[in-house]
Amino acid sequence: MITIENVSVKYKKTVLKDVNIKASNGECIGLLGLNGSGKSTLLSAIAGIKKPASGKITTEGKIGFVTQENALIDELTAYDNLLMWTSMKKDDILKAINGPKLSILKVNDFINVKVRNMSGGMKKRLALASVIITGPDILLMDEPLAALDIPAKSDILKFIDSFKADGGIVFIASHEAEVFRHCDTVYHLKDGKCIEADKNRQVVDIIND
Amino acid sequence: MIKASIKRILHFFPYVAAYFLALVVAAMAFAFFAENVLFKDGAFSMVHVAFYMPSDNQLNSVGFSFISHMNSIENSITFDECDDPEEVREMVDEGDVVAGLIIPDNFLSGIYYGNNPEIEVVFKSAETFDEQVVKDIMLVLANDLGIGQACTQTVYSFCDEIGLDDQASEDFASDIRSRELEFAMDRIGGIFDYETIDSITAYTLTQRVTGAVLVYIYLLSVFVFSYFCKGSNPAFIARAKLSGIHPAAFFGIEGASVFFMMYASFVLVVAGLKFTKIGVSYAALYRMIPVLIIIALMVTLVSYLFRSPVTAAYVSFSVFTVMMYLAGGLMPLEFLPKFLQESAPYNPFKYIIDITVGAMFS
Repeated sequence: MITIENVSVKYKKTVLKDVNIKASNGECIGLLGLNGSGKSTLLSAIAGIKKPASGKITTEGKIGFVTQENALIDELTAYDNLLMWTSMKKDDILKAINGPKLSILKVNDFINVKVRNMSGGMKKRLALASVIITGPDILLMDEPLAALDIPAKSDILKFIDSFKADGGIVFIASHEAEVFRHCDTVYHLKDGKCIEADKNRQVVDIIND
Repeated sequence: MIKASIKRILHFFPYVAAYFLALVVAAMAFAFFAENVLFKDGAFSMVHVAFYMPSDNQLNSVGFSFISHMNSIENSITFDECDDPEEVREMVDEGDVVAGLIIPDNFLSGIYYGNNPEIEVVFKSAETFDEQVVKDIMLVLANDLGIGQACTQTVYSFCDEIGLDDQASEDFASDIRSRELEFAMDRIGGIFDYETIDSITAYTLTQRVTGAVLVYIYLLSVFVFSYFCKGSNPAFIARAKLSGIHPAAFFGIEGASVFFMMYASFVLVVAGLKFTKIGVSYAALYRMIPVLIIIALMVTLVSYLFRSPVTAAYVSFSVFTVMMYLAGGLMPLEFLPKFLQESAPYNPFKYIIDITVGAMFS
């Protein structure tokens, strides 16, 4: 469960003003908005990385954050990158990536490949796997489908559905229309305000409102 | 995370080793030949000494000319002649010269007649090895001269005591002076041996250049380590925070990793220097640890401050180059303008260089 109450976030000027969102277990929330509208800032505030100027954010459960920029080490393999953020042993890591939750991401196919030799899709799958392996209850995803090919997008969307089905909460900031079809609620961020939008409308129409 | 960090170090170290190998070889080649560049005959006079000499006796000028044209003196000391003794004292007070010599009026005739005239030697505190050497030599010579004068005076007193006439006293004193001069001339060749003095000074310079260039190369390793350190990437900081790792601990882990790589490369540098005539001490392997820790933390900090490794590299190059220049790391302080020499004690890089030179060669 996540409750965001009257949250405002400021950098030099106010980026978000009086944001109110509630999300229950098994729910997926979509955040839509132009560049600089505050989508990433809201995710950072939920993660506890950016402190709100006012308001309150209550979260229950462990948070995993897949940022736009991958937190991956180029000179290490996929396996070593997974090792970076978990204290699990090798066998447990291999078991986890082949288990029901993570097998959708197909990380095992490139487990010994160094990040610098990976495609964008591989990096995104690995970044997601490295977050999921730590066992979060809440998943924050910033532009998870950016610059991915169709199979990679499909795998990540499948994963989102399976995470929801297991009772996890997902927050996704994106521009991609297909993401919002997997969301239960979509919010439009504009001029610092966060307004619930009709997820069945075209993304372009929502943004032009 | 520790396990993954060790793997990172192992994967990254070849790049670090290649960086240090390329730069250290080039720098050592420079350090190795620095003495030839900076210590050619008449290339530079390192230390300035002011002097006042009365014009009452031509022998003063002849003697001074003789000394100042000795190869060793000509290549290491610049003499600035003053019009009066007060000017000498002022130049020393203001730090324009390291020492001053004031030869009193009637100096030579005073020696002949046992009046015990004293050359006044004025010092300021020495800041470099070369200045200290010059000061020590001047002090020894002044003491030798004083002992000679005391002997001459004793002879005159003795002659007076036993009732000898002036001519006999003068003969005795003349004999003593001849013996003193003969003794001094025998030794002076050894003291002012050109090869000895210049090779010592050149060796000191080579040590300093080696130490300073090494510090500079380690500081500029931001070029390599900014690709290793991930603290400037918000994604890593976010992951660290969500994984329960405090950003300071993340900094500590990466700083320690940078230190280990720097230290491993330093072991290679020491091993390499053992094949040169620079003669680094093995004790440097533990003495340099504090210096390398400081530099590793500085390099990590700079890498964290700038989001792009390229920006970090350019900024560190600009800042560290200026700071090293002002600290006398890229050019001996003696060759810098006076106001820059005076600002050097406030520059922390000067002390890093001093400690490095001490750690490696003392």
